[in-house]
Amino acid sequence: MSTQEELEAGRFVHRAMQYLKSAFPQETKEMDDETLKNKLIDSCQVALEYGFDTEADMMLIVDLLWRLPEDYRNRPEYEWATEIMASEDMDNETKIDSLHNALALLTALQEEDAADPNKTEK
Amino acid sequence: MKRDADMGAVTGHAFFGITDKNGKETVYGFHAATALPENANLTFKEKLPMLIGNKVQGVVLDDSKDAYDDKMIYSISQQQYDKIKAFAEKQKENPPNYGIFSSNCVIFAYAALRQADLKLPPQPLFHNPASAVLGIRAYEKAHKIKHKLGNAAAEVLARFSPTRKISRGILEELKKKPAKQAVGVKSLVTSLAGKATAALKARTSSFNGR
Repeated sequence: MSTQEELEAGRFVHRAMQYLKSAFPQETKEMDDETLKNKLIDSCQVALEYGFDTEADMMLIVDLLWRLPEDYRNRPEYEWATEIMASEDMDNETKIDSLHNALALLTALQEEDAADPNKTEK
Repeated sequence: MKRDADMGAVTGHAFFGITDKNGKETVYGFHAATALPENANLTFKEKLPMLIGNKVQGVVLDDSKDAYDDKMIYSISQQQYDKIKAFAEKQKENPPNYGIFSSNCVIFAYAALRQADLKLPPQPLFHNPASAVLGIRAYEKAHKIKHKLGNAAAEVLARFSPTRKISRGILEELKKKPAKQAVGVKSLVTSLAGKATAALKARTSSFNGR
């Protein structure tokens, strides 16, 4: 690995951390830099697993993952996330768009459900 | 094919057609198998859990008789035609499961047209069958959420390179290093500034000493 490559990757991580701090202030408020960096890298590795290997593609996935619950892989209502990321029929742009659609629809559904006055607590 | 009035009217549908050099059009649309004639007697409420919950078998049908409200037309080459046709026929023969969020008619149409590298607009949320399942109020909410996600994506695209790649190996290396070292430029500048100050001090004291 060249020094140049390492320096660029370091810059990327730095910028990505700044992005996460500005986009997710609540989630990152109590987080020290070491934890934030490691969580960021874990999310980047998920993105790489599905072929999102450029800085921008990777960060679009990181941004999405940070909007999902941490245990999304074990929750059936978020099954679509892995299915879309792993799809062999879609290119990355289509995948991101589909992920955004699915997240928007599911979040709206969850919010509507939570606000449903007919829903009684047991 | 008979479709439920409530289902057909509100869900919306996306399909595409390709026209060969002789002017013959072949139309493909992706459906859940719940839309097949043998399921015609199922009520919408019976179909809903099948669509949202566990995935059901998908099916690619000839939608040439379907009416539509809007359309986009692309002029394509023979090579692009062949790519789209090959994809659509393959899916028709061995259709994937249908999932309302991850494998629906819009995603199928987009995946097919992307085979030919066509530049398509963002997937329209309002054509997504899932939006109808939610109802109009939730749909409006979903639209706002999608808009926010679009803004976040625009910010990411403005800040990060669409071409520079990051390898797994480098990320693993960076994970081993403390955050300060991993952040790159800032730590490098601080370190260089420190070294420069020290060097300047040393030179000054050496000069003063003369």
